[in-house]
Amino acid sequence: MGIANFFRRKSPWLLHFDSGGCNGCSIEVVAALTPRFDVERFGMLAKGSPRHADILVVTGPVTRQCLPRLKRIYEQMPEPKIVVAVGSCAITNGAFDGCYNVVGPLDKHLPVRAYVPGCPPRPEAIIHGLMAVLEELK
Amino acid sequence: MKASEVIQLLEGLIEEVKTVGNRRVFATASKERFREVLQRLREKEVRHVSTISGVDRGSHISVVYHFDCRPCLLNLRVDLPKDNPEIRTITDLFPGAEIYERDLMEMLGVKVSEHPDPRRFFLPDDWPEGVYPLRKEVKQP
Ligand code: SF4
Repeated sequence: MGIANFFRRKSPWLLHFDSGGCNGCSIEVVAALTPRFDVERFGMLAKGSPRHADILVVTGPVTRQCLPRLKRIYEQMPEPKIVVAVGSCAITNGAFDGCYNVVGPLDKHLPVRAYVPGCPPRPEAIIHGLMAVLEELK
Repeated sequence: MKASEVIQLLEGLIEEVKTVGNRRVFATASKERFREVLQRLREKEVRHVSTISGVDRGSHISVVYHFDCRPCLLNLRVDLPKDNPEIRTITDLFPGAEIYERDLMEMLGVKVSEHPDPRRFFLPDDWPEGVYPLRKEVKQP
């Protein structure tokens, strides 16, 4: 484990991106950040800019309008970068499968390291997914 | 207005009237005369069109206007032929309908004439012209 990775594991910063879902998963991601579930105890902070982020948390199915923006955000993140798919929409298109503007699932377009299933998943599940990804960084 | 009062007000302009309870009225109007219905509603201080829904029924396109007549709801259906689905805008009477009409135009290809701002609203920027995703004949991927 390099020294950069050591510190990254102590404070991975998140960027949350909703690529077109119903907002259910987004609310659960926000709930995971609140003091009740508190991902901050693992050093994780939600950040507003992809340039500061280590982990990209994507919720919702990838829509045609969002795809170029999602890719651009991914490209703006510094290496090494990790993508976590949260919710059945991001994993399989879920309830939106077959819609006229859905071009997902997410792993067709970006390398996904962890999948958190559920519609929406509970905040504990999201935290578990993020922790599993951190284990990999070791 | 109660359901019976709404029906009384619109006497002669609406057909196929159906009421559910005393707070819900379903009715149809012809494309030529539906604006008279709207004018009468305006005179009675009905100010709120809750939404407009467009339905592709295969042979024709139905446009359903949902009005809040406090406490009654009026669902006014106007049927349009599929080969030339054109209707006048209602934004001069109900300005809030602007976005609903833009939605009708891009999703179902209904031509709303005299609309103040007929640009695209929801569809992706690179969506092809002339493909209306909520039409029955459009193939879903
Ligand atoms: S997985 Fe369920 S809750 Fe999450 S965005 Fe999709 S439909 Fe909404």
